[in-house]
Amino acid sequence: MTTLDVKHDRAAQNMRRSWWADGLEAAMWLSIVTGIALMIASGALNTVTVVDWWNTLGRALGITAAVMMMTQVLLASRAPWVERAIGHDRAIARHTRLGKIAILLLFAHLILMTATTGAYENRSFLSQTLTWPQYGWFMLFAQIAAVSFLVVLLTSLTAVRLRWPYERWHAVHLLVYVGVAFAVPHQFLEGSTFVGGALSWWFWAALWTLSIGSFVIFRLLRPLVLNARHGLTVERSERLPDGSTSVIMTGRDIAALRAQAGQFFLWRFLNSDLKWQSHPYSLSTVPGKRLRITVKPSGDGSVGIGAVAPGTKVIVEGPLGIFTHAARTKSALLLVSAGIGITPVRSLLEAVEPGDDCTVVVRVRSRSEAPLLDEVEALAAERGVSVHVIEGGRGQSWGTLERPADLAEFLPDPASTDVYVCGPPGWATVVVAEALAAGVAPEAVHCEKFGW
Amino acid sequence: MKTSRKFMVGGASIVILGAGFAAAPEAAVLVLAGQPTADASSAPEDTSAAPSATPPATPTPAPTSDGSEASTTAGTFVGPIVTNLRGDYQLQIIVADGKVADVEFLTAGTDASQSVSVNAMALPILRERILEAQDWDVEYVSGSSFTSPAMIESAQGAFDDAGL
Repeated sequence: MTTLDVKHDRAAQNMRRSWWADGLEAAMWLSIVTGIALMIASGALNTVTVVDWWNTLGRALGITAAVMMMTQVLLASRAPWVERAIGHDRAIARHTRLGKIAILLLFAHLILMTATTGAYENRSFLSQTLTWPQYGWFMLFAQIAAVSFLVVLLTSLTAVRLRWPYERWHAVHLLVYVGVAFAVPHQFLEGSTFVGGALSWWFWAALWTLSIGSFVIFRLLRPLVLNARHGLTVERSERLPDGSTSVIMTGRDIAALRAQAGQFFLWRFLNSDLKWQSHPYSLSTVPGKRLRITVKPSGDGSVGIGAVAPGTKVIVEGPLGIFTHAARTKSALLLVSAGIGITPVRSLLEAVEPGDDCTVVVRVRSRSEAPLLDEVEALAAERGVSVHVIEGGRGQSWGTLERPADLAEFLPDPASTDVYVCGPPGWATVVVAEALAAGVAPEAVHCEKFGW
Repeated sequence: MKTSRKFMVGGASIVILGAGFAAAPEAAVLVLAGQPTADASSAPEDTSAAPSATPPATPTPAPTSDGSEASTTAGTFVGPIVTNLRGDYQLQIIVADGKVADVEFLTAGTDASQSVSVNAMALPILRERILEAQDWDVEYVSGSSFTSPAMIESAQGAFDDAGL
């Protein structure tokens, strides 16, 4: 393939991805609008009193919240057409932001519906709340759903989230599935949604089937099938001189996982210490017959992984992320990493084609503490890629105290360069900002964040 | 999202909402026969209920002089008020020559738009069923799980009063 072909190919691919990503967002808005249009078509605007207006608003909020909840389920489903379009980290970031809004809307819906129904039927707010279960089992279920969502909302507040370990928070977070499962029936069985007729029934049934179906297939069934098929186990682990550990895994038919350099998996090592934890680690080599990750001891999980015995079974979710060559949009490539962020850069570098215009910048505190730096330098030498090592203590810039770095010096032609950034969140933010300031196109800046 | 695409989504939204408005029905009209009778046990001869938009009520005929029939019930029989979660329900039957000539609904549910639209849909069907069966014990109208049982219970009272 000529350089020009590659360029065209990348432009087309980038265009497709941007369509997908925007299409998903557009689909959410259009679903909300369609839900409300169906409500209008069923005569919801034939309002007379002020209470009628509030009641209609309450229904509209319920519809909006329902579509947002489906979007939530979809964003967490790991469906390939979500992951590939917007990337795992952004899918989760959006999930976090949308989720709180969706739950707040749900409560606005609940409050308005209880107040207006109470007003129609001469009951106080409290007495209407207590009367709901008599409307049918589905209303009792909806109330159980409301309690679940409230608990999830409270525990997802930043204050709680920072104090709790991820595993405990996640266990509570699973209540949202109770919430969704218990809230759906009342949408179909109570209320005026389907007074309009069959069209709205099919509309809502199709949307829920799509979102819950994706979740069941890609989040629940696919990992089971993948793990049964590939049977990953730890082959060996290697202690590196800087203190980090590489873990090498084998299994059946690894190629069929179709993992790419720069991607990550969620790893769960089935020994007694680690089986309840799942951690995201990038591949630190190009995936072949084996998969390798490199872990620097930091949290309790990554310390434990240093001691994983050969033969330990491993359950994975993935491959995830779009920190890959496939996501490139331009001809030149600049890889920038700090600390353990070198792992995906190491595998991306290994996958660089001969003649590809690639530059690597590695920020390290000291050579002796830098994981994989020797491997990166060896790979770069083989491929004729230049490596700039910026070594030293923390300074004002993303570089070091002795050598304040400016990304522009590694960007001779920013407009035609893709910049891949991997490192600690604060540091990465600075590098990304500099890349954009230097004139790199926003779609050509690639940065995945792993902070939870 | 790109600005041009935002406009496309905005435009599509307007079209979809417009279609919703276009498809929206006229306001459901629920016409009840007169005011609800406060006292369910009021005299069965209360025929002062205003005429309704439902097919004109057969005027209560004078009792026929056909003495051969054992019972030639005639008149208006008001069923009891039945209350459930969705409000109060009451109907009356108009009987002539021992046959139910018409069913009129006095009270049904609340002013909630949902209540109004469900009742506007269900009550005419319920009336037809009662007239056809000449009995209070008819099948519920689907989609009116509060209206049907309550109205049928009220009808049972009215039929009992009429001795039918």
